[in-house]
Amino acid sequence: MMQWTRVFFLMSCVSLVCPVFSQTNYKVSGTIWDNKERLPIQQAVVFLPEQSYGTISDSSGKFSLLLSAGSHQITVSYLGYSKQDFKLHVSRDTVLRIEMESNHLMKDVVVLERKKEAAAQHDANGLITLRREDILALPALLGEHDPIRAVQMQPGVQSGNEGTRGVFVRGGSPDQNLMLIDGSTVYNPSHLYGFISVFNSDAIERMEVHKNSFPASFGGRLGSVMNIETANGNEDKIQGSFSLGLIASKFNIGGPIDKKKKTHFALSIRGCYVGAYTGPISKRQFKSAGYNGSIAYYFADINFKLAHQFSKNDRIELNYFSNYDFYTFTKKVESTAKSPGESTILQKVQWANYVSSVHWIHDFNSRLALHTAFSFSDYELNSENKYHYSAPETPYNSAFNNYYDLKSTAYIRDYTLRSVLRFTITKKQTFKTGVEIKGLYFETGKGKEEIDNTWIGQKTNTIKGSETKALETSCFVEEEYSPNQHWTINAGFHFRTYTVQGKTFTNLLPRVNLVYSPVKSFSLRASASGLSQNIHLLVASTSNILNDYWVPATAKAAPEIGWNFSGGMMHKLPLFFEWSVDGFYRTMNHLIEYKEGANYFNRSWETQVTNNGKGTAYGMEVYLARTYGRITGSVAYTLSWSNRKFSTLNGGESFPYKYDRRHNIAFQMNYNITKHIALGLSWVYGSGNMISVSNQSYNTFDGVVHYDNYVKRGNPYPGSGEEIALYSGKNNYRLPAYHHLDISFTYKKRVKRNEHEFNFSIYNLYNRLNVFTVYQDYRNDSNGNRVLVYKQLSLFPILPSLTYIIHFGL
Amino acid sequence: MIKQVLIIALFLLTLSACEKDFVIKDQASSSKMVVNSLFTNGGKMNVFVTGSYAANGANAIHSLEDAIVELYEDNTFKEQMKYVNSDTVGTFGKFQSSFNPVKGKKYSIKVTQSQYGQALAEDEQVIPVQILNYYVASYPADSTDFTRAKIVVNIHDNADKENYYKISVWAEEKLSQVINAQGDTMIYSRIKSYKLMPTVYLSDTAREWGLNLFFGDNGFNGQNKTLEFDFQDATSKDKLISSKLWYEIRTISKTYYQYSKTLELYRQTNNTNSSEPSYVYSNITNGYGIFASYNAQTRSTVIK
Repeated sequence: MMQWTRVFFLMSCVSLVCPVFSQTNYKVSGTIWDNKERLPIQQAVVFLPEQSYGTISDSSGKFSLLLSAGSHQITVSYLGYSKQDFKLHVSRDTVLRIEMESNHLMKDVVVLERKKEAAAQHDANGLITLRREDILALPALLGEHDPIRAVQMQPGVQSGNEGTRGVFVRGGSPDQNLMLIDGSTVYNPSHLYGFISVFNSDAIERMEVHKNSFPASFGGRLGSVMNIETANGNEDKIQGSFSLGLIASKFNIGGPIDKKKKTHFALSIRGCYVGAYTGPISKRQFKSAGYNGSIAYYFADINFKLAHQFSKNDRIELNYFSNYDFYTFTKKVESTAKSPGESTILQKVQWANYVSSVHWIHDFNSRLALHTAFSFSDYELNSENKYHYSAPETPYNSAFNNYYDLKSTAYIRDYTLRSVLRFTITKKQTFKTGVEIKGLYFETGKGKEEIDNTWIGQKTNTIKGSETKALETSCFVEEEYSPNQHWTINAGFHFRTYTVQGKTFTNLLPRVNLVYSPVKSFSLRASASGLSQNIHLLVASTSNILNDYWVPATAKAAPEIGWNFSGGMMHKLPLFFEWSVDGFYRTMNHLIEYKEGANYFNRSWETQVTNNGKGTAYGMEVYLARTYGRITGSVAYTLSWSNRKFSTLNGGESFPYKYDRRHNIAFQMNYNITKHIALGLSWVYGSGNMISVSNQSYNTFDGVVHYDNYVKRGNPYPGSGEEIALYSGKNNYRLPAYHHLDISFTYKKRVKRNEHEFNFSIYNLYNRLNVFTVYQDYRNDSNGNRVLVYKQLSLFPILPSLTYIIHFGL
Repeated sequence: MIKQVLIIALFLLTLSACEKDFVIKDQASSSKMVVNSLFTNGGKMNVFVTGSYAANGANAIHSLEDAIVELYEDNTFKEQMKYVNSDTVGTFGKFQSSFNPVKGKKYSIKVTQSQYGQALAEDEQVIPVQILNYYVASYPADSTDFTRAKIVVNIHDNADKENYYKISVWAEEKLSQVINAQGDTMIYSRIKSYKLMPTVYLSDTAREWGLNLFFGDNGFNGQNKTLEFDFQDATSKDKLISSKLWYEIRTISKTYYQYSKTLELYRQTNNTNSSEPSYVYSNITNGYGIFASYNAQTRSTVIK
């Protein structure tokens, strides 16, 4: 049955001084609405069939086109709504409001004009864009839809082993990924040892991941850029949600503040109270081991955004994000008749990110826009280690007291001013340029030590720590040009300076990205990018991840520089399938590593490293996905190698990098069983990390017993020499593979203006004990010989969870 | 209610971390021959041949008596070394040469054993440094004397070679003196070694057991050199047996130097929970251990 549709036009007149070109173009923009639900429609297609030109609406239902003066036939379509055709006469910049009517044909309608052209061009660059709904489609783990986990499902992006923080892109390390939230850097993106990221999915609008090609506007890391854009809040009304889970709860609200709807806000808060469970459990476990103790862990994070549209051309945004993590461990051993002494250990670790930014977006006209932002980002890590032992006087010993308390702090802080000018020359050509200046502050190892010991006395030491200040400046020019419908070229330069300890490092980094689409559904891409970064991650070659240490580039440890080369193809198939194959090759220079025998706890880290290392990473990625339909999902496989070479390590020979993980597989599937019930499944597999272990030992002895015993200490077996644990090479052993299967069931039901959602999920369905860390220990064998053993710790066994969410204001 | 509590408890128990032994795989196949020999022209060459063992197994050292050890001098076969059993409990048998190595000659060994295959190593017998003179520049006379002990050694470095040295100083300290039933005076003593601190610059310095000092000849190759060292905590002269101070200068090969330097670092950083692993140098091809030469000159002097 024909459904009549109505289209409302709101005309705005804007007088502008237009640049003189051979053809006058005007901006036609607007919003597409569901006329019944009063909600914006995203991903609706706005298309000009005569010109084969179009766009799609964003998550706010907004779209924008550049059209020449004159008459244009426009088609607006979206699955489940009646298509609209109308003619628009353009003689000035125009704002439209298009209301569409549902035709209740969601199950069977095939959208013929679906965004093939626009999507192929966009995806063809290799840019990964994840919207909130893509993140929500993954199984929720412990009630959380984690955006970083969604990124880790993409080809070339690895999740790391159990409890490893950050992401690993194309053979790189976590420090090589630039994590931005509304343009500001987030230095530590992890809660709970990387199990959950600090990013609340309720607060996210969209996430872009650049790993194939790097626009000249981005710089500062060697591996990838992940840019999170937080949600603006509903433009029309107040909406939100509240979720209650077994270990975490969230609250989210957003919408217009004023009647004119020029000011909007969005607020998301999340709190985790897993410590309420780990405390009693660990108390019971320690009790059975013979002493009192407990472990507790809590975290919270908050996102806030306030945006105001001053005029049609000016918009200001204020963004704030912070997270706070708190971990505590206590242990107390009581005095007994056999061991008359009491000891207490207290360990507290607290870390937090504080990120805020102010943005001013100014449109000079329909072609020229300026975006200026000032941001502040701070990451702090505070810890306290307290030990107390006291023993009473006995007939054999005098009373003894030993108290030791060490508090230490470290932080990374930056203040950044950035301005980017974007000029749309024509529909086919865009030019961007910008500048950035950043002040960086690093402080590590600062602290205070208190000692009260019967023999030593009382002492208080202030530990100065190491402070580094640096100044970073950068500028870039970038042009994107599509001479015809087959080719797109993006090229530019990124120039960066870094000044630290009286020394200035400069790098001119070219970027080029080519896309060729012989037909609309197929594209080839190639890119080359010069990159640099002013931060290092020192990686312990033993498995203990707590010893990975972030340090700034200094006069002695120069910034890392490298090249990324990438090439591949993408093909869109029928029935909403798509697949791609990519190859990559990366080089890295000026790397640093711990030197042999380096002490992880030495505060003067520059004395513990060797520098001027080189690295290479190469591999291929294969990706297959179904992007639309009742069953959607993807499978990504990455095969990669990552090596390092230092003249002073491993005999000068190349060795595998700690995070050289040969195979990585990520599978995810989402099945909408009914309108209300959905099933989510994901399985990840990754080869284990490479670590240094001693798998052989031997004894040294030279038979010269009588003399050498004068100078040897502690050798109980004259002539048998010393036992040497042998490492056949650096990073000589691959840990077991890391894999787990996760499943979730979601039930949704709308009741009036609220939607109720219940989620049941199980993480690690087959309870695999993946390696979190491996450490050395010693024990006596049956003959009383002291033998070396290795121990494995695993963090997350099978973990079910149940979450209830209410979405209100719909 | 009980069922709900049990369900919650089951869930809570799964939150705890799990610890278990971690087994390093393929340890047996990594076992190789271990060849140890620090030889000098001052005695017969002794070569100890054993096998390495799994890192998390018991200390299972055993001598490979059935190995064939061929000794070459300047690339010419000299002899097949004979196995000599140990006569001391707790020590091991060895393969021994029939002659003393000759200064300036290159020695190489080829060790063949049915289980481990063949291992090779070589090193040149060092030519000892010339000690021109040695004296004690200052020394505390008694416990009330706080003079810092200082020794001076003058040497002549052999030219056209990259030479390395190790210097050790020690004294025999009197602990107690008793007269036994037979009327004999029994003096109980102990050896005390000193940590030498060079007062003039020396290149390539390294320590052994935190005391003995290694150094290279960079800066005085082929020349006379006056070495000056002082040390703390010197036992006063009145407590030394015979008021004597002993010193030894070893001329060592570069192989010996590299081995000793890396072995010292290994001793200091052997806990990989707090430090990076360190690797002890080895010049054994297809094996582990060390085959290196030295020459030791031991002297004593009476402190005046």
